[in-house]
Amino acid sequence: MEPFFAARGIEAAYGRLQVLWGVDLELQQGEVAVLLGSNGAGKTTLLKALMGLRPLLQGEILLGGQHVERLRPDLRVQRGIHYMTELGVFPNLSIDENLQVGGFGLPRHELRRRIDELYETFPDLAKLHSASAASLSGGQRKMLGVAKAVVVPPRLLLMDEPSAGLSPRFVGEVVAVLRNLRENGPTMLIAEQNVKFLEIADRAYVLDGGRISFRGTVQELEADDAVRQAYFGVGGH
Amino acid sequence: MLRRRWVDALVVVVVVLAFVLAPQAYSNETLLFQMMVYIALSQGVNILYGFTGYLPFGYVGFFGIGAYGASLLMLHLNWPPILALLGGGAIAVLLGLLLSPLLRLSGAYFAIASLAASQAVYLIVSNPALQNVTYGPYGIQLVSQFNPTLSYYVMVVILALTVAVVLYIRRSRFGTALQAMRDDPVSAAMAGVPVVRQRTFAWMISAAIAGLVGGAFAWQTSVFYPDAVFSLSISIFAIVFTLFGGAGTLLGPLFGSVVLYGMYNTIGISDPQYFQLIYGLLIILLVLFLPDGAASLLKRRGSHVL
Repeated sequence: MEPFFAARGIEAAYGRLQVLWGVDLELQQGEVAVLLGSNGAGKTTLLKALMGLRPLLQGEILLGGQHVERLRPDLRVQRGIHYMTELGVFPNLSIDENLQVGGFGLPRHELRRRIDELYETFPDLAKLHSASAASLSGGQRKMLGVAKAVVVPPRLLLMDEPSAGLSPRFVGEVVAVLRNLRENGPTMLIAEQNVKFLEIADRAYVLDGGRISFRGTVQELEADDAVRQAYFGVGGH
Repeated sequence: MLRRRWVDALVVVVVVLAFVLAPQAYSNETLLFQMMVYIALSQGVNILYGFTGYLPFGYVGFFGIGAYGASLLMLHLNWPPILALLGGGAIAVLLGLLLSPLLRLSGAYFAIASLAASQAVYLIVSNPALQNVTYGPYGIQLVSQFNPTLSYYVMVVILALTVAVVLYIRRSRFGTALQAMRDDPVSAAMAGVPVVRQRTFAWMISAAIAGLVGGAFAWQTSVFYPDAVFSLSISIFAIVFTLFGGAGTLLGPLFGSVVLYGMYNTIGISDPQYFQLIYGLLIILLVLFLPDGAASLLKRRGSHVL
C-alpha cells in the first residue's frame, strides 16, 4: 500500500559537514512513529529537512502521494505539515494568545470556536487561559505546545523532543496528552531520546550518526539487543 | 471588549488633553513640542523593538528623511505644510520599503546595518553636489511657512494617531503575531503567520510615524541643518526612553520619554555633568534590576500594563 507519508534518500548538510545520509521513513495515515536518537544524531536536522527549513542535498518527500520536497515551508504548512519546535510555545504570550497564533489564518469566530473546543480537551489550559506561557510548568507548556499545534488540525505533525527539559512526571503527562490526541488525530513523527514515547507509537526508527540504524514495530525494537542496550539501559538476554 | 475600547479611547483623550492644555500651565511650548516628538519616536521604536525584537539604531534616518521630504515638498513644489508633512511620511515609508531587505538580518547585525543606512541617507542629503535639490550642508529655511502654534497642534494629532496605532497593535491579532514572531519566528511561520510580510508592515508603520514626526519637527523648527535631523542622538534618546519605560507596552515608552526628557531639560542643559551622572546611573540600575523597563515593576506585582 502506498504510504501516507514517505521520505526517501534524505541527505542534508551544514556547509560541508553532511549530517544525514540516505534516510528513509514511511508512515501510514494516523500512525505514530517515534524517531529515537541520541544528541547529535541528526533528529532535528531531519525534521527541519522534512519541513523545508533545511535544504536537501538529495531525496524526495511525499505527502498523500504528492511530492513536497521542492515546496517552501509555508506551502508545506498549507499542505498540512506542522513542525512543533522544542520550545513549542511563545513564552511572552498568554495561553489564549498562543492558541490565537496557532490558528492565525482562521476567521475570528471559527478560531474562537476551535479554541473553546481545545479548552474542553485541555481543561488545565482553560483554567489558566490568561496566564503567560512563561509562567507555566514544563508539562503545561508542552501541553500548550501540542494544543497550539492542532488549532488547525495538521495532517502530519512533526514533533521535536517533546520531553526536552521535563522531569519524568511531566514526560508522563505529555505522553498521556499525545495518547488522547491519537484518536482521530494527525499522523505523528516524534523525534525523541526518551523511550517512554514508544508507549503510544506504532512504529519506531533509530537514527544514529545521520543514518537509520533500525526500523520496525515497537515490539521488534524492544527485542533488538543493540537498541535495548543503547536506549533502555539493559544488556542482552 | 467594549470596556477595552473605552479604556483605549480614554488613553488617547488623556494624552491629547495633556498636550493641548499644557501650554496654559507651562510656557515653553518648544520643550512640550519636543517631548511629543520623543514620545512619538519612542512609540515608533516600540513598534519595532517591543513587538518584533528589531532594535533600529538607524531609526533617525526615517525622521530625517521625513523632515527633508516635507521641507523640500514645501520649498520646491509649494505644497501646503500639512500636505507636505503627509508627503514626508510617505517618503519615509518608501525609504522603509527600500531598506526592508535589512530585515533579513537580526540582532546586532540589523542594528548596525540600519545605522549605516541612516548615515548613508544623511550623507546623500547633505552632499554639496545636491545643493540644488536638498540645499546640501547649508540646511533648510522654511521661514515663510513658520507657524509654531499650528505645527504644535498638528504634532498633537500625530501623537494621538501614534498612540492609537500602538493601542491597536497591542490589541490586534497582528500585534499578537508580531510578538509571536519575536519569540520564535520558525514556530510563528509554522502556524501560518506570514512572517516577512508582517515584519515589513510593522517596519513601515514605524517608518511612517518617524517620517510624519520629522515633517512636523521641520515645520515647527523651520530652520535646520542636516545634522540636526540625522543626529544619532535622536535614535539613542528614542531607544533609551523606550527601554527605560518598558518596550512592548504603550505606557512604558510614554513614561520613559516624559521622565527622561523632562529630566534632560530640567538639569541636562544647566548642569550637564550631574545630568550625565544621573542618566548613566539610571541606565546602569535599569539594566541590572529592571531589564524589561519600569513597566516590569508593575507587571511583577501582577498588574496588567497597557
